[in-house]
Amino acid sequence: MSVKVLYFAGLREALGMAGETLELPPDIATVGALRDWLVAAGRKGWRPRRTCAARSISLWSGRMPASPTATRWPSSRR
Amino acid sequence: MSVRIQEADFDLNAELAALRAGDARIGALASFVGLVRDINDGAGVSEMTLEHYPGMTEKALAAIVDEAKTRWEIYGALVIHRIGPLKPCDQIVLVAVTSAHRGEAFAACEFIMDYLKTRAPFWKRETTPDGARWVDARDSDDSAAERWQ
Repeated sequence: MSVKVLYFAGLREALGMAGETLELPPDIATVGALRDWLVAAGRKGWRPRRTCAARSISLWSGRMPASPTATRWPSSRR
Repeated sequence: MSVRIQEADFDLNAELAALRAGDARIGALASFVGLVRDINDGAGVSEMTLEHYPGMTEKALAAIVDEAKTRWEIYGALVIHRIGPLKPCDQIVLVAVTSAHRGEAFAACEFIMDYLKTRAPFWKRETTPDGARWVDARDSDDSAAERWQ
């Protein structure tokens, strides 16, 4: 599966690019798995920092959004 | 309900007046304004630059406001968040909510602000005497948002 990944803020500066298109193995089905895959791939500068970006990504614990503009919200409890 | 991301400053009085104009149902208007401080984590801050994810940020903020509408009876809500370079004392963000009663307005305003801090894709870069640094997320912001879950 081909996925366009966007990088922001400190991550963009550390990686030296604003984004890239990646060909992912079929078992990468969640954003968390994508993050782990990038770390394992040794992307310089990519580390699971506790930044706003990492936190946003961590919210997407389910399958990856169907489109770059899709977002997922955890179900709220009243 | 309105969400705006902009570089320009905002006129607090004008924004609040517009939010409640002509709606006689409104008995309460609660608002919060976030400001740039000149110190953070023990270091002086001479400038703060706010970056965001265009398109996604607006959707995230709209989703937060929609969530507030499902929890409280609010008539109107306004979120203005500035981006770009800001100086100490500058206004950063405005959250305002109207309702019939203060309890609903206070709660919804606080909820929107707490969720904004943790669920909208903004990043802060501070200029300090030791150079520029990106600001990490705060545990206290997570805790504030978790109160509503």
